[in-house]
Amino acid sequence: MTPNADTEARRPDDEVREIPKWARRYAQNRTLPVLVGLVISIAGFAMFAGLSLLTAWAYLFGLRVLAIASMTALCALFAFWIWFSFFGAARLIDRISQWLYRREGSVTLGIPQVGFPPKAEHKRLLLVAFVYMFCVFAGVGLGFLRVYPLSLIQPVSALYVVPFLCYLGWRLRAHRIGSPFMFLWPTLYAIHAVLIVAGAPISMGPMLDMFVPTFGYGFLAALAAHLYSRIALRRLRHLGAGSDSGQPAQGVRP
Amino acid sequence: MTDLDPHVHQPTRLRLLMLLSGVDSADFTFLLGLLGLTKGNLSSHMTRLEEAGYVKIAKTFTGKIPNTSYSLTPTGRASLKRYWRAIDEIRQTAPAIVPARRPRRRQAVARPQPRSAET
Repeated sequence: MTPNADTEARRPDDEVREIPKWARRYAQNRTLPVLVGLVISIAGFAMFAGLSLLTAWAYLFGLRVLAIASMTALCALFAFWIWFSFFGAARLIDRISQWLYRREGSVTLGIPQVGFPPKAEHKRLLLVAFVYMFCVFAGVGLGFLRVYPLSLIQPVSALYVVPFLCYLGWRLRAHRIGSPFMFLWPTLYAIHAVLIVAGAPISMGPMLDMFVPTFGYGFLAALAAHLYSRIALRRLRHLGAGSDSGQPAQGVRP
Repeated sequence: MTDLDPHVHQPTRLRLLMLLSGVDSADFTFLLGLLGLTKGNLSSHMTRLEEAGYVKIAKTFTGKIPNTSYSLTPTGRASLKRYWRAIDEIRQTAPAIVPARRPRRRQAVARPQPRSAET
C-alpha cells in the first residue's frame, strides 16, 4: 500500500487501474458458446430419443415398415452426429456465438482463437475424452445389465462425470480462459448424486436422472457465468466511459 | 519530475491500453461499444498507438465481414508499466504539496460564487 492510500480514500485513477481486471472477467465469462453447444446437444438427444421411441413403438405394434424406416433414420442420425461432432459442431457453435455477440464485438483471452488446444495437450485431451466415453458406456451398460440398481445410475455416473468436468475446467483455467462459474456444473452434479444416495426424492427415472443433471446443471452454470459477464460489461462500460465516481458530473456544482 | 509518455497519458488512449492489457485481443466493435467514441475518433487513437508501436492491428474476415482486432505489443505493455510507475513516483513525492493545497481548494469551493459566474 502506498503512503498516500492512508490519506486519500479513492484516487481517480483507481478506476482506470481496474479496467484490465474487469476486461478479463468479462472475457472469461462469455459463455454463450457453451449455452449454444448445450442447446445443440439437447436437440440432438431429443432427436435420438424421439426416433428410438418411434422405433420401439412401431416394433411393438407390428408396423414393420415404419420400424425399419425409423431404425434407418436412427442409424443415419447416428452417423451424421459423429460427423457433426468432429467436423461441423465447432464451426456452427462459433458462427452462432459470433452472431449473438455481434453487437458486443469479439474479445480473446490467453490464447489465440486458432490453435486450441495446444498440440502438446491435444493427445492428452483425446485420451481423457476416450476414457470418459468408455466410462459412460460402461457405467450405463452395467446399470442396464442390473449390475447395480438403476436408481443409482446418476450417483455412479458422478464418479466419472465430476472428475471429467473438473479436469476440463482446470485445463481451461490453466490457459486463463474458462469461467470459474463452470465449476458449478460438477459441484451441482456431485450434490445431486449425494442427495440421491441419501434418499432424497429427486429421482426422475434412470434416463432423466442422467440427462437432466448433465445438461441442466451445465446450462445453469453457463447461464450464471453469462449473467456475471453482463455485470462485468456494465462495469467496464462505466470505467471505459471515464465516469469517475469521486468527481461530480459536468455542470453540477458541489 | 518524471516525464509521462504523451501517448499513454491521454485519457482515452490510457483506457484503450488498459483494456487491451487485460485481454489478448479485442476488436473494433468491442472497443467502440465500451468507450462510447465515434468510429473516426477510435480509429485515429488506434492509429496513433500503432504508429507508436504500442498496438498491433490485425485485419481479418469473419465470413464476408471485415474485422479489425487490436492487441497490445510488448512495447505497449512495457510503456504502460512505466507510465504507472511514473504516476506512483509522482504520487509519492506529492504528499508534501497535496495536503497543503487541499484545504484551500475546499474553502474556495465552499465560498459562494458570484451570479454572473454561475450563468
